[in-house]
Amino acid sequence: MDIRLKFAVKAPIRHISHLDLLRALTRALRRAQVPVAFSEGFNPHMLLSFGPPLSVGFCSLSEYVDLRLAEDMVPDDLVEALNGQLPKGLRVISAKEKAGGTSLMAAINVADYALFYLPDVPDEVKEQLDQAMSCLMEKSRLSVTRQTKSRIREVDLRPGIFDIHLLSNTAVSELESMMDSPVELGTGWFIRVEIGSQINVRPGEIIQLAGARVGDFLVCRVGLFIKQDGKLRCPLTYASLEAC
Amino acid sequence: MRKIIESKLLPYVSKPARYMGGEYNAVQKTWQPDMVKVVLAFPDVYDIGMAHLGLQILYWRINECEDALCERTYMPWMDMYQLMIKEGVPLYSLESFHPIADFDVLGFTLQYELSYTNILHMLKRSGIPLRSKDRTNQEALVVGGGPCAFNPEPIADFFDVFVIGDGEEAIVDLVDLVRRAKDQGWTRQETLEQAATIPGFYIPSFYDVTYYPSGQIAGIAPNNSHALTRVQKRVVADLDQAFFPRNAIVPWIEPVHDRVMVEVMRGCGRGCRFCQAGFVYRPPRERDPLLLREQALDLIRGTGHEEVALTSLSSGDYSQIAPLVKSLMEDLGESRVSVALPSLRVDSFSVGLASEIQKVRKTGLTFAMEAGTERLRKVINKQVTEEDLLAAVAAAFDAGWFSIKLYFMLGLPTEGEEDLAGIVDIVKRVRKLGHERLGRQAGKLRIAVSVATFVPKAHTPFEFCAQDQPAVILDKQRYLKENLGIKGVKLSCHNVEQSVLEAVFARGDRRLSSVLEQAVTLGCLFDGWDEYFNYGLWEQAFGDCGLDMSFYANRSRDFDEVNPWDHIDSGVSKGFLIEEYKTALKVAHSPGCRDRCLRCGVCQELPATMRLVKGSAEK
Repeated sequence: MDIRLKFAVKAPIRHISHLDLLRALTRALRRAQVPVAFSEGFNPHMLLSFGPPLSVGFCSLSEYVDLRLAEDMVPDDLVEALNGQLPKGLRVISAKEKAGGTSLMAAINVADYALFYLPDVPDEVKEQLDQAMSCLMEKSRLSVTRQTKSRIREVDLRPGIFDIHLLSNTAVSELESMMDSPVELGTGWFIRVEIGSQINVRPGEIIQLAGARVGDFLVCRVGLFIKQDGKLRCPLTYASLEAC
Repeated sequence: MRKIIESKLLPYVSKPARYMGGEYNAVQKTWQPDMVKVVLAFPDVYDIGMAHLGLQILYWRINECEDALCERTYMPWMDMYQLMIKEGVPLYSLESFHPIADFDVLGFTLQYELSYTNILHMLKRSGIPLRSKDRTNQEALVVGGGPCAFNPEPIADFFDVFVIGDGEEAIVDLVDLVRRAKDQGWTRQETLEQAATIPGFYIPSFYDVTYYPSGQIAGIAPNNSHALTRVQKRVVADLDQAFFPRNAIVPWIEPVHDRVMVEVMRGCGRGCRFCQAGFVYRPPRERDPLLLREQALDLIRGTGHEEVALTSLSSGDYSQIAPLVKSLMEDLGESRVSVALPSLRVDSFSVGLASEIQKVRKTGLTFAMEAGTERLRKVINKQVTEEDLLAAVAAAFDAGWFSIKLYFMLGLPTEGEEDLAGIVDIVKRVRKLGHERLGRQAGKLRIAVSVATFVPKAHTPFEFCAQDQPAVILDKQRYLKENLGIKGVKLSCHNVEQSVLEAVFARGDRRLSSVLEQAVTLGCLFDGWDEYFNYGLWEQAFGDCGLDMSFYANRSRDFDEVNPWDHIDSGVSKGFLIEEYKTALKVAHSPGCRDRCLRCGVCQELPATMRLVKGSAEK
C-alpha cells in the first residue's frame, strides 16, 4: 500500500538539510512503529520518496512524501501515530492512499512561495524592493546567470513566472499563524513559479532580480502543484486547484 | 536573543542546525530561581560533541534531579563564532537560549588536549573571566572532567574545580554542593572549600606549585586546610547499579557516529603501556548482559535510531560479547536495526563477530597493530602476533571484505629501523595474503595504513619517556612513504606538529596557562582541525612566554622527578608504572588483569575491584 503524506516544515527544523529531514522522518516513523517497507539488498532502507527538496532555511506548509507500507494502515491513523513522534517544527497535515502512478518528483512542476520581509529590513528599503517586485511581471525577459561545475550560462526565467503580487494583510496574518514563526514577519510577496526539470525558478533568484538579499526575507513554500493540460491539481487528491 | 539568532545568524552559517537546539528528546525544563542550573559544554563542534556518550550520561543524570536542570552548549564552528562576535551574541545554551553566564555551573568535558584553546574561547564568549582567581560569587562555577583531568595542570588556572574519574555519581555530589551553596549563600571560597572535601574533587587554586630554575617542579603542596595532599579519582564500583540513560537526544544533523550507545564495560585490563585510558579507567568492570539488552532496546525505541553500538575500550574482551550480540540481533534484526562493535580485537574471533553483525561490507575493518615487530609490541605490551593479524585478515577477506585498515604508531620507546621495516613488511604480507584470498577480485583490495605519532601520557608506564623530535618523526614518515608507495596501499600519517603540541599539554605544568592564553590572543582555535591548526602561532606563543616545547615533549624524566600530575591519584601506583617501564625495557609482556593481578594499586587502594559477568566468552 502506498500512502502520500502532506506535511509542514516550520522553525526550527527549516534549518536542516533535505538529507537530515529524511533522517528525522525515518526515525519518527520508526518510533511511531509505522510498518514502512524496506528495500532489498545489503543496506535496507525505508521506501520513501519525496517531492522537490526544500532549500535550507525555507519554511513550508505544503511538502509531500510517498511511503510504501508493508502492511496496510488507515491513512488517518498513520497521521495520528506519526504526529505523536515528530520533532519540533515538523507536522503531518494529511494523508491519502496514493492514487496515480507517477512519482512526486516527476509530477510536481509548479510552486507557490510567500516571501516575508524580516523585521530588521528598513522601511525605505522595503519601498524600493516593493517597487522592483511589482515591475517584474511587466518585463518580457528576466535573465539570471547560473553556474554549473563547468560553465556559466544565462537563463530566462520569465516564462516560468506565473504570478507575483503583494500579499494582502489578511493573507499575511493567516500565513503567519499557520507557520507559527519565531520571527515577527512584515508584509510580503506571493510568487507562483515553475519548478522541476524545465525552467526551475528559485525564489532566491526572484529576490535577486528585485535587487534584494536572500537574508531580507523569510521564504515559505505555500503550495506545490501538478500542472496538467493547463490545469493545476493538488498532488494529494488530484482535484483541481479550487478544491485545494 | 533567540530572535536575533534565528534571523541574523542562522541564515548565514553552514549547518545552522548545530545551533538551534530543540532536538527530539532534548530535555526542556522551566527555569525556577532556586534550581541548580548546569550547562555542559563540549569544546568542539556539535557534530563531534553529539557523538559523545559521557556528556549524555551526565545530562540525563542531572535532569533526573527535580530541583536541577542541565542544558548543553558546543563550540560554534568558525563562521558562526565570528558572526556571534560581530553581532555581540554571547555563547548560549541549546535548550533555553540562556546566556552561559546565567548558569550556576559550567562543566567542560576534557577529551583531548587540542581542544584547550576552544575552552578559552568559550569562556570569553560567555563573558566569564578566564582565570579562576578573577571570578566573583556571581559567576558560574567552572568545572572540568574527563580523561584530560588526570593531568589538568596546563588548564588549572582557568578552572575552579576538576572532578577526577567516573562522573555519574560525582555529578550528583556537585549538584548537591551547589544547592547547599545557594541555600546558605556561601562565598565562592566557601563553596570551593566544601568542594575540596568531596572525594575526587580537585580545587587547583588550593595548591601551590614551586619550580627549580631548570623548570622542573620542586614541590606541589596544599595551601588550604580543606585540600588533601593527593586527590584520588572517583570510581563506580558496580556498573549495574550505576545510572545509565534509557533515552538519548536525536541530533538534527548527522554526528560523527550516528547511533545510540550502550557501555558494555568500563576500563580495560590489557595494560598496553602507551594507553592512558587503559590505566586511568581501571579496574575493568563489565555490565550485566540482560541489563545491556534492556538498555539497548529502550534506546532504540525512544530514538528510532538504526544502529546500536556496544562501546568500551575493548568490546571484544567483554565476557559475554557473543551471546549479547546474538540476542540483540534477534531482537532488532526484524526492524532492520544493526549492532555495531566499534573496537575490534586483532583475531579471527572478532572478525567472525564483525562479519555476523556487519552484513554491509561498506566500511573497512580496522586492526590496531601499533608496532611493526614482535619485539616492539612486547615493549608496549600489545599482545598481538603477526600470526593473529594474518589469521584475522584472512578471515576478513574470506568473509567478503576488500578493504582493511591497519593502524600503527611511530616514535614508540626503543623504536629502531627494523621496527619501521617491520611495518612495511606487515603491510606487504597483508597485501600478498589479500591477493591470494581474493583471487580474481584482488584488484578491489584496499589497505589503508594509518600512522599516528606516539604521545607519552601521564599515568602510564611511558610517562617518563621523551617524544621523538619532530624531525626524527618526519624522517620515519618519509621512510614509510618511500616504501609503501604500492598499488592498493594508501598511507596516511598524522600531522607531527599537532602531536608535538598534544605531548606538551599531556604532560605540561601550570606555567602553560600563560601560553594558552597567549595562543588564544594570537588567534589559535580548533587546533585539532587541520584547516585551522597554525603551528607558527603556537611557536610564537611559546616564544612570547619564554617557554620551550621540547622541555615538555622531548625530555625523558627521572623516576624521582615530581611530575605536574603527581598529586592526582588514579589508583595505579607510581611504583607500578616504574616496574612496568622497566619490564618494557627488558622487552617483556606483562599479564593483563584477566590473567593475573599485578597489584597495580587500583583494586588495593580504591573502593572497586574487577567485575566480570558470569560465564566466559565463546572463543
